[in-house]
Amino acid sequence: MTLLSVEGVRSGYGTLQVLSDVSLEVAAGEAVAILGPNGAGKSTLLRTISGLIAPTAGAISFDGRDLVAMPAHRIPHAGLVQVPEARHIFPSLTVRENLLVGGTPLPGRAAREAALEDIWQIFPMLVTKRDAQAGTLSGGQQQMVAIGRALMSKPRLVMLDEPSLGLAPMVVRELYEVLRGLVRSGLTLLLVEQDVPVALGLVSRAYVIENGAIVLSGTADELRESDHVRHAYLGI
Amino acid sequence: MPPLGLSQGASPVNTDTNAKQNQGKTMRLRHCLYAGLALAASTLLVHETQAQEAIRVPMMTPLTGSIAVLGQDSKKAAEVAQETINAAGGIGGRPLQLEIVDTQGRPEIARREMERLTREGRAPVVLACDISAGTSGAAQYAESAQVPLLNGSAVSADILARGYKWYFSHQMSSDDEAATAFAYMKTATGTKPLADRRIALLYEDSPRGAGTGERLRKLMDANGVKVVSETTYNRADRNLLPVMRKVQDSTPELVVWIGYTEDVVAGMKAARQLDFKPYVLGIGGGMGDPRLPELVDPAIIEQLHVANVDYFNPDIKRAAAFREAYLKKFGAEPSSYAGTCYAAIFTLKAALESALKASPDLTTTSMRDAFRKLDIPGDQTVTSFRSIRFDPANGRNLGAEDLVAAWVDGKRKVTVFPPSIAVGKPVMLP
Amino acid sequence: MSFATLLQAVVSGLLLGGIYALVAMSLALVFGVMRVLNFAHGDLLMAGMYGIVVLNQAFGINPYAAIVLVAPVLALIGIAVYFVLIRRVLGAGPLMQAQVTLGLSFAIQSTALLVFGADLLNVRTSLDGAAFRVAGVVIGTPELIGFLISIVVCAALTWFILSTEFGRRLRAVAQDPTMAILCGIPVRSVQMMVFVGCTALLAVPAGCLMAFSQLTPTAGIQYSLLSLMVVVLGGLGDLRGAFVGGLLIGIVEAVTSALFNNPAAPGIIYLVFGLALLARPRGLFGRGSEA
Repeated sequence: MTLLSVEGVRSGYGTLQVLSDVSLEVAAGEAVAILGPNGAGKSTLLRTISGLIAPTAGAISFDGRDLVAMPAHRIPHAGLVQVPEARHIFPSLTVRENLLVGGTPLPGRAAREAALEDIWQIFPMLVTKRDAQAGTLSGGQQQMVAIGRALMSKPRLVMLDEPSLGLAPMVVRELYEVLRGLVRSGLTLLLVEQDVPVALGLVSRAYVIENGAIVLSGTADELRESDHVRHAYLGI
Repeated sequence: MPPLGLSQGASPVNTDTNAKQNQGKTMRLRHCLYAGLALAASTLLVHETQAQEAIRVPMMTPLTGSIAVLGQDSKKAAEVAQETINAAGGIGGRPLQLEIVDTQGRPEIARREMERLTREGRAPVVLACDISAGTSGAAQYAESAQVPLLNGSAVSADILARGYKWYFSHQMSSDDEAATAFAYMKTATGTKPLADRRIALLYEDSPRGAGTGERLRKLMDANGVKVVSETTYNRADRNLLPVMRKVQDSTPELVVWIGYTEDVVAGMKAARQLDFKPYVLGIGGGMGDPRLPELVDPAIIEQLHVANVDYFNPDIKRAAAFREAYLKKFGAEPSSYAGTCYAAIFTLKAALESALKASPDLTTTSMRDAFRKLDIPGDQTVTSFRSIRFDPANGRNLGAEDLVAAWVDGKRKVTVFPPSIAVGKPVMLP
Repeated sequence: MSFATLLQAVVSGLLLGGIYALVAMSLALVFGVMRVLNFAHGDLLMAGMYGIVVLNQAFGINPYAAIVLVAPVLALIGIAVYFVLIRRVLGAGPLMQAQVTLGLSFAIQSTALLVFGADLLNVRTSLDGAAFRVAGVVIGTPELIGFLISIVVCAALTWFILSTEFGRRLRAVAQDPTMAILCGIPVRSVQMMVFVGCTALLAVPAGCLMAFSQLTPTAGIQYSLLSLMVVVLGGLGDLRGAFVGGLLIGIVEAVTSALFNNPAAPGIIYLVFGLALLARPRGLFGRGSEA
């Protein structure tokens, strides 16, 4: 069942067009990656889906609902959240407060407190840091907070923009363990990632964007075997 | 668009026979005669209308800005003055029309307006009921443009020091104020010599306050009178308690206080909080504000035995008619600002009448000469002045003199000095 | 000048500074949440002060009680100002914001002059001139009450921002409005509510001030300038800084006018302000601003 559908989307910043005619799909329960070089338009795509940029053409629907017509702040309430590039945790809010803010779409204080408990289960390393200001945490810890914050509202689909950026390899491994666990428990994931092998190790399908257009798509295995991907992104 | 104009209104072409043409000629002649008579009659009419034509004099005053109360009171006085003058036949049969210009209390605007009024407006004379700063700039321009400027309200003596020939200061100057304050102190000290008294000077630090404050200081120093402290403050100060405390620390018997209403009210409340109860001699619009008992507990005014050196008080006999008219129109007593502007307008009237007698066309020179010739006895004004007579060397009003009014029960002001116009007795120091 | 007088100045200045702190905090909050520096903040305070005067002179209500009645009126004015003016300059450059809010400042001042005239207005209460002495320092009763009320409200405001759900969202919006949207927070609504709330809050300093101070149509500009100065000194958007800055400016104001017997005295505040910024360009507490 298609959860997220992007069709023929054109988008950019002012007169600068970044995306030209992008289409993709994510089915419920899938983990899908979007790969491509810097400046290809990967972040622009996620920002457009999240309602931060209005597309100049095309349609985006989530769970049957038109996202383009929806005000950006309502989209998380519909069950679609994003963990943006560079994490964007609220620096002077504590870890706990950051997570609670993520719970904004939930119906009340009790629901938020309950959801908080669930997050501590997924990220036990954050429990000792619960009252620390999020800005004082390490990069890896901040990433956990950012993901935890996104998960608070029990979303149906989580989009992650470059989660491994700026993190040490061991931290990236830990992070992807968590992501694997989430995928196994049925969470739908749309992942923008520069680290291609790591991404392909997690997802079932992927798209490759270059210069604002989708140039390639297929299963993880197919892409691993693709000459283009091997030359351009795997250095083979 | 349909063509407009004369072609449509033209008389139709006459295609009649000769007989009709002859008839037409007579008709045309008659028409000419009637037209001629009408023209002759209309010249008489024009002459009449010209006689009714108002005398327009611009009046610059701060209707808005930080000293807007001066402008608003002056405007009210101008309305009463205009009505009174025009009801009595106007000036040489012509109504007076004062055209009020808002200077916002800003000197650059006063100067700009002065320039506009004299250049474009070709005003033969300008009346200014404005603060010293604005009047100063306007006077400078008046001098260079050779247009007479009549100053109704500004007290600064610095303008007089420049020796302008086109500046006529109806208002008394800070020298007069200081002189009156000192003369009053000599009266109020009673049997104890003034040199034995402890007197403090307190004034707001703008040119208005500082001008008179410094002159009074010089006068007192020259006469061997002790000044136990001289304290200045900024009008916009929100916190006058520390300032009043400084004055209190010098333990004066009498405080001579020059300020505006806002700071005087704040200072008096602070004095009460400090339990500081000297005798107070005020100078200027603050201590003399008729609204003082509404703004401060009258008991405080009474406690401080406030008397005020001022240029106007509505209770003097001379001002009775003005006071009545003002009360009737605005339901309030006229303030000093209103009184002085009213008086200036009547002086203006006298000068205009004199100039018109010399020649029906008002020019800047005829107005200047008219001002120089003026010698109006004080009884004929609403002021406390001895007379209105301008010094040709600098424009100073040689007959200017201040009065002192004392607050009674903290509720009303009674003129107590000089004896020639006093209505009550001075407040004696203990 | 004696030590006693200096101490008096410090205490008097501190009392008034408490009220400045509250005024500045509300301005800092608006800036923090929507990056708009409202040059008409003092004029909105003045509007509140006129409201207090009207209620007192027409119905005999004392200024402290009148706060409760003036607050909703200020809230309505805040709503109007937000929708007509502020919303349009959110995200616009500081020059545009300054122009628009300065225009509002003049409009309020002119309206006040038109409706109330140029005359000085104040409120007469039974506390006029009431004071008591502590260790040789005279403390005015209405000034002390104003100080205490302001401090309590500052504390309540701080508690609200730190401990409630709305306060948390407010802080999120202040730190990262885009991320706040991604968390599902209705950022524009939050900004509107903060603006309206901060405007309504001005009823408190309005009442406290009218209990001992005077009012003319130019009071607004004076308070606008003062609160802007405090907010910049404290570090744009930093509430702690606004609070401390308010107290500091109150003290500096009183001490310089007591110390210096000369017309430059009020200019000294600006000098101190300028020097402080030179030393710490981001303000005492600020992390700087993008403005």
